[in-house]
Amino acid sequence: MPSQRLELSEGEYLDIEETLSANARGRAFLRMRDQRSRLVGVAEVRRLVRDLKEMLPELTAGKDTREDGQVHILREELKEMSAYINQARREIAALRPTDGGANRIMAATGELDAIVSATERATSDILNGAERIQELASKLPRDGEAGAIAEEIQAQVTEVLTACSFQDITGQRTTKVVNALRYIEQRVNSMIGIWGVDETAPPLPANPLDTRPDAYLMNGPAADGGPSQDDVDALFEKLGDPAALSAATKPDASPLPPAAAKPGAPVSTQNEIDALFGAAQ
Amino acid sequence: MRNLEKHVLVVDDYNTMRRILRNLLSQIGFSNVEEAEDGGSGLRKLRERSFGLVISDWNMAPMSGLEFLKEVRSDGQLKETPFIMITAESKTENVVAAKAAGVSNYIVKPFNADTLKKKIEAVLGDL
Repeated sequence: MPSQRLELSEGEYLDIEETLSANARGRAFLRMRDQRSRLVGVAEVRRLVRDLKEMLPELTAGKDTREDGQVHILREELKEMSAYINQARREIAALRPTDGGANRIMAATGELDAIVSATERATSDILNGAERIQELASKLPRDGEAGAIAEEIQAQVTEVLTACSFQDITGQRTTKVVNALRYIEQRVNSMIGIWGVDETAPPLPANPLDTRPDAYLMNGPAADGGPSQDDVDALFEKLGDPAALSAATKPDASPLPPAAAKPGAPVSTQNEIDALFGAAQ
Repeated sequence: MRNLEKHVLVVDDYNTMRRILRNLLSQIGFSNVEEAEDGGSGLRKLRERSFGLVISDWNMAPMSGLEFLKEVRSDGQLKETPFIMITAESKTENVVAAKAAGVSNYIVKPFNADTLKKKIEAVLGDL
């Protein structure tokens, strides 16, 4: 049965130390014990330093291994990126085949231009017909039932005429799409030129953007749900107050309703805009 | 001069719109209507003879309707000419910019004959 090691309490330790300190031989014993303890401590530190020195080459070698691993990962990532860029180059180059007539972007732009031309011709034909009907209706007697019919014909022809203004609206919308396609085409050509996929790529125009001073204000027709004439009238009425107009033209303030105050937001109601021009509306 | 006898200048880059406006103005009773295709040619016509009303689109090139309006308002001989903007540009900043430049009234496309007549009356008075 193994003997249990005797442990002293803090009080017992201090009592013994005090007893030993009470005479010269005891104090000499304590000094020698402390000196030997320090020597043991120093020897222990030296041993640890020696052990560390011995381990250092091994630790350094491990770090190199890890760094090698990181470099390998980076290399692989760069290779993947390079492959991805090459793939993108091939796809962009495919957007512009050697046959200019087969260029898909140019073809789409041409199709849209054709739509604009076709609607313009159709609108012109409709206007011709409407104006001919007007002319014939004006020859009907102005009184009696025929007069009432002539008046109704004139009213309906007017509806046809104003409806024909769709051609202007659709023309503007289509122009926006065409301009967007042309912009994309220019960017694609630019990328092809930069990457050297096609040395014959034409240079970009010096300034493909609209240079008119108020170009930033020309957004074309609003999408469905955009502001109506009533909305515009209401805003116009509000701006009749010089102070409100002055505030509205400042970049950081607006007298407009919260929904209309943001640039690009639909305006308020037509009645509000009408008030801008006073009671004359 | 009665209002209906005044000369009206219609400025729009779309032939269809000029034709529609000319027809509607004729129905209202205006018989003296001239046309221009953009702000620059409109300005030249205004300087050639007196007009009692200008009806102009905004989105035209090379001179837009807004630039045209500013030129008119800065010209001592033309600055009092009634000027109606008729445009598809209907956002808040458009109306604010046109009003600040001195537009007399503002019509949003698509519009109808009744709106056109009301706005002309609002600018010129009873027809």
